[in-house]
Amino acid sequence: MKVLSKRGFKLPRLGKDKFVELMRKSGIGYEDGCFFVKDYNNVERTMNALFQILSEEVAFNQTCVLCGEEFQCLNCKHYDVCATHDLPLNCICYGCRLKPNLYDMYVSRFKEE
Amino acid sequence: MEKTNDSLMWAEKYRPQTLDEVANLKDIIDSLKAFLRNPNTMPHLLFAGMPGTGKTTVSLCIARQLLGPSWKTFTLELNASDERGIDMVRDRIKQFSRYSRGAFASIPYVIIILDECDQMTASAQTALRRIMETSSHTCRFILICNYSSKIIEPIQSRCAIFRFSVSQKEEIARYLESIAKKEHLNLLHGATEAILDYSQGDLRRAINLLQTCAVYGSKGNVDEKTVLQVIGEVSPAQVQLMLVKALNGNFIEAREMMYNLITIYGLSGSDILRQIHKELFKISHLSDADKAEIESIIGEYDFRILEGANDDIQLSAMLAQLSRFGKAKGKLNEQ
Amino acid sequence: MWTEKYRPEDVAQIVGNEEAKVSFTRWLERKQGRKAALLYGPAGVGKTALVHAMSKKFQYEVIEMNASDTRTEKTILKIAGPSTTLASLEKFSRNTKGSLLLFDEVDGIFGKEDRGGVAAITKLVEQSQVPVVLTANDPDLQKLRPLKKVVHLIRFRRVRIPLVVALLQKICKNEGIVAEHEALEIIAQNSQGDVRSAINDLQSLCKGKQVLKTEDIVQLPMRNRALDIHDTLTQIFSARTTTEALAAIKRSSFDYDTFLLTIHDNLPLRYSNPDELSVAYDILSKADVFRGRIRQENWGLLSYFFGLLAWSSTVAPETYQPFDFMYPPKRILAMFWTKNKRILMQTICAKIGKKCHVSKKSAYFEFMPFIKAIVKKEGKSRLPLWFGLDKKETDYIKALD
Repeated sequence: MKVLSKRGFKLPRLGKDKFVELMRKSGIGYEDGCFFVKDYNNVERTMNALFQILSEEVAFNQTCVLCGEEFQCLNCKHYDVCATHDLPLNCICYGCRLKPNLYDMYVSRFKEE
Repeated sequence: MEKTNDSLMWAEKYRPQTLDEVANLKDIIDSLKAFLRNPNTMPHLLFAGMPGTGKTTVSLCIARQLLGPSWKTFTLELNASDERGIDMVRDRIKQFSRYSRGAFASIPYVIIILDECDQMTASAQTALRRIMETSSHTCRFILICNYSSKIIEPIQSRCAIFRFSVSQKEEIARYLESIAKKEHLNLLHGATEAILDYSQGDLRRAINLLQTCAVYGSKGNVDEKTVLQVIGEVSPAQVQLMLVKALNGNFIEAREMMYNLITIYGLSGSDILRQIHKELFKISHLSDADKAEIESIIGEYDFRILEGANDDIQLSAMLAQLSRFGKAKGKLNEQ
Repeated sequence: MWTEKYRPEDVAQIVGNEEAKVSFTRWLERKQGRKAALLYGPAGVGKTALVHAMSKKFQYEVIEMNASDTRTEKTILKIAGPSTTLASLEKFSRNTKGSLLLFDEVDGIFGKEDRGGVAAITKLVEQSQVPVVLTANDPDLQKLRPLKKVVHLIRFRRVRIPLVVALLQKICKNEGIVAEHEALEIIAQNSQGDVRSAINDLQSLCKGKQVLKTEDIVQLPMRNRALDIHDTLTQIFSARTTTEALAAIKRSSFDYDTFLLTIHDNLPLRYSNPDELSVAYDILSKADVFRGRIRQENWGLLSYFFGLLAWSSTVAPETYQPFDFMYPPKRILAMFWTKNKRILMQTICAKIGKKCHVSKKSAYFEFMPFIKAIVKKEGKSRLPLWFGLDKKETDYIKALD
């Protein structure tokens, strides 16, 4: 299983057609030599396209909404119950989960933006 | 005289420590000895064969012989089913290689024994191949599996393949007798036969059974009756009971038992099907034709388990088919 | 009602779906581009809450188009009715400047039969002078195909469990309740990311209590959901035709995974005859195979999935008799209740595996039966000692059957 970061990941060399298809139909963008997830509405489609290109299952890192760190779903205790594991989304990292007053932290983080 | 039959597993106590002690795998041993004389000529190894045929034993002997007294430190034993994915395997191997870096003056390489490789998916095996490639100057892999056909070709082509055949009855009998002697056990005639019958060429299973019989037998005697009694005790009641209940049309209870298997141990659908397969032949009142039909039912759901999302749904569906089958058969019997 | 008391006033207070929040904010701020936004995704994750919070912030008056008061009822009739004219639509939107039109749960209102309704809304959106927001539950938006082309799509997802837990923790703190962390985790897991139902569950479980322990969660009442599920399941199982069952499935707001597991649980209660049961289960197993494929291939398979679900529920309509439904999905609860046993068993098998050079699974199948037989017969056996098992573990093995 290949683990990617939604902010920027590399892919093996693609032909022009494949590249264009990726940009147009699979919700991926390209900038400064790196691919990134552009369309969050349809990440399943993105995963599928990447699966076809890499011939491996793809898992994206999660971004912690509180500290910004990237981490993997693999070791999460909720893995089997979570409907969206390995999708390029946000969550709370294992370290932050142990902190108190998570909700307050969350709210103040988003008030800043 | 101290009773030692209950202080450690005989399968470990009597495991051969050197290749010379391994009785019945002459061809394999001879080929391996050639490699061991020149360790740097030894490629990665792939050991294939049914359970209890000596694969792990030989792997450990090789490690012992090549790596000297601290062989344990330089040997990493992994099981594909215990690790949560190929990434964990990779991490453990990386950690292990790093840790052993200093030792390479005294040893040719570290040994990584990876068991149950055939239970890895093709993509995991592809990743494994890459791992093997990048670490081949410092590691030798001994891959262990039941079915070499389930190992992808790129891995097979990088290994010397050794096939471990099922032990002959006479060989197992000899082994059991030798252990019985050392343990001051009296193995009566019918007992050996019964043990051989049950173990079906799996030496480890035979030894485990012998050890358990020693505890159940009286005055150091193990007779046929004891063996049959113990066999009754140790048969994986859960799986067989679940099968029998399903065949009797008792679906809801059968499904409960299936849930227990999944939730208490965390067995996957494929694990349970594999076990059902093994248990199938033990159900005596089924004819060969019956078993063939059930096998095809199992086969269909084995396939669906791989594709489907929920193991318990597939297993339940299979149990439901067995219920129908059992009911139809019942009707036939009535006629 | 805690769902009222803790209704988010502010965008920041809505947990989860950060990308969706950003996307919606940008859409509303720009006021050009698409005139309408469609927020779609599972129930109870904050779609409607977001619309209200943002409208408040930008000072829009929200007119809920599916509210049942007479003012808007007439409006809906005008729009959805067969005599809709362009003129009436234009007039309507001219009268509502400074407003934002909200069509909540739009796929629910119109259902499958009312294609006229979807066309009317699409027209309204195209002609509207004010922002229009629609929400829907169906992730595939099958019913709303014509609409998809003219709206700005914003996907919502189930809220991640740690976030739900964080919110529940906050509520407990506010309400002066001491809750075991694991208890909150179970509630969060059971809600499957539906924040609204998680809060409802928390409230019902905490009724009259100051302390919430894990063992209190014997059976999550899920009062609100239970009623819905009961109706839906009754409709599905009592349907006389597959088409009827399919309509019931599509009408409901439940996600397909819950459906799959719930129908699975209830099949043997519906079909006592092994022949019927085996046919129904075979169909359900095929539905599960589709479900397994849907993640990686395409969402178009979803229609087959629903079709198979409907079919498996209507195998022998003539044998239907009302029965008590099993809900919530058993497996999730079962997994929790046996978790401790599972951990214990895994630890034991790990120890056996280490000593005998086998995997945990092999330890379970190849060694455990013998070890169990030995320690049951010989209570003082030193075998557990050799494995490094403690008393608890040894006792557990002795108690296995």
